Amino acid sequence: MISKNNNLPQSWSKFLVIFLVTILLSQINLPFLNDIRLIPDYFIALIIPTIIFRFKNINIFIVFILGILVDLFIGELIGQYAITFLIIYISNFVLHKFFVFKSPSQVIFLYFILLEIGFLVIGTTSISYLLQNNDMYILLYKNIMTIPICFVYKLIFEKMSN
Amino acid sequence: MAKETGSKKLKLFNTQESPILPFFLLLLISISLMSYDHRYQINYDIKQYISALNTPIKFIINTPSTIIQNFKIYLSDQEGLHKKIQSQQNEINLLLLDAQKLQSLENENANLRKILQIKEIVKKEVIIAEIVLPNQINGIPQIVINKGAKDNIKLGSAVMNNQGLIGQVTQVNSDSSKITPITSNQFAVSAISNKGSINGIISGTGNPVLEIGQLPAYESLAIGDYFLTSGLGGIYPRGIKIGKVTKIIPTYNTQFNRIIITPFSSPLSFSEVMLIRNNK
Repeated sequence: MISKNNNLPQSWSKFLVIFLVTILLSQINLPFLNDIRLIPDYFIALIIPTIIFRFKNINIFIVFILGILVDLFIGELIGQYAITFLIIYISNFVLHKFFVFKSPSQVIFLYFILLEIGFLVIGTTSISYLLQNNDMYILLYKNIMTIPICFVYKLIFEKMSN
Repeated sequence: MAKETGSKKLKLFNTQESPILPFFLLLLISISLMSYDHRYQINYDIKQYISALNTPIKFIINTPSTIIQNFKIYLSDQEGLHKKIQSQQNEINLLLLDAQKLQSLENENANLRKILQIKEIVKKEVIIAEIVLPNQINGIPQIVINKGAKDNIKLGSAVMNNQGLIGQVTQVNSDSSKITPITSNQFAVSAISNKGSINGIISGTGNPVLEIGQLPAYESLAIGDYFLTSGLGGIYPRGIKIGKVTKIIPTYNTQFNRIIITPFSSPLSFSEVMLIRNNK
């Protein structure tokens, strides 16, 4: 995503619908999934395609406001998702500064890196659990469901931009 | 992958304006907000104000379960209901018998307290509520009940069910309240063992078990013993079951053991809970 993509959906209303559906999804249990660690982080999954696609040429201030909104609706601490989104945004900026992500495999790699950065920030700022009490596979568990959800959002953004 | 050239003026692949300065500014704001919220809990206050915005979402989440429950009631046959009423009637009779015994014990206790000039036990008010969805938000478990400020629910009330202690009310909205479960790492309660000889502070771990971090090794505690609320502090009445000892782990300091306790209560969605409020 080197140059500005002018084919992007220039509609905040569509984004608002996606955002509201995401709030709804984040509070619904997935069928046949009893392990709460497998519940995906929908907001990290949403913000990564939003930043990568540069939806409405999204800037860092809007990313921050989105983070604060997420914190107000579903967060534990005000500022937790804001800081996560900011770090994802800046990581994407820095990565694009030094590397080209053109081929599908490179783009998938970028998604994966940004997801892991998001999980690390959320994990280290969380107050609902202590790191030493959680098993070492917590990141793996989180990835299992969040990666597919992230690519679903990616597909939605691609469809919207067509 | 690009190779960097010597030119300092060369902008590499990203043609956006540099967001580095705003990033550090916003990062500072975020950290300040987090610190302030962690210290003063402003999140709870703000969430109370915006809880009305969440009401449609809660309604949508709970609607399928409500429909299924109503449908089950609609389909249940007369004979089945009759049997259920009969069994519940028998249960009520047995409980009434117990209540009579308790009443006489309570009177006896009150008389003894008068003789010994011990302060009267604070009268507690019990409010029945139901656990509703969502039972998790973004992967973080939580317990929400269908009663709030409108039903006179107060912050800090103890919550229990027929199995034992569940937690404490930590957020009150107009028509719902949020409970911090005993397993939360922000929870602690003063407890006494069923034999009455061991006192300790039981705390949540963030995992499905509770613990007493350091209990003197000379205390005669065995696996299978259980703990009850001690009543110290005045929030939780004395005698509510908390959990059963499942592990006794020696620590590096040989004078102390770490006690792992499995809670008795496992609150399920759409089950009833009781809120205990001090009538001071």
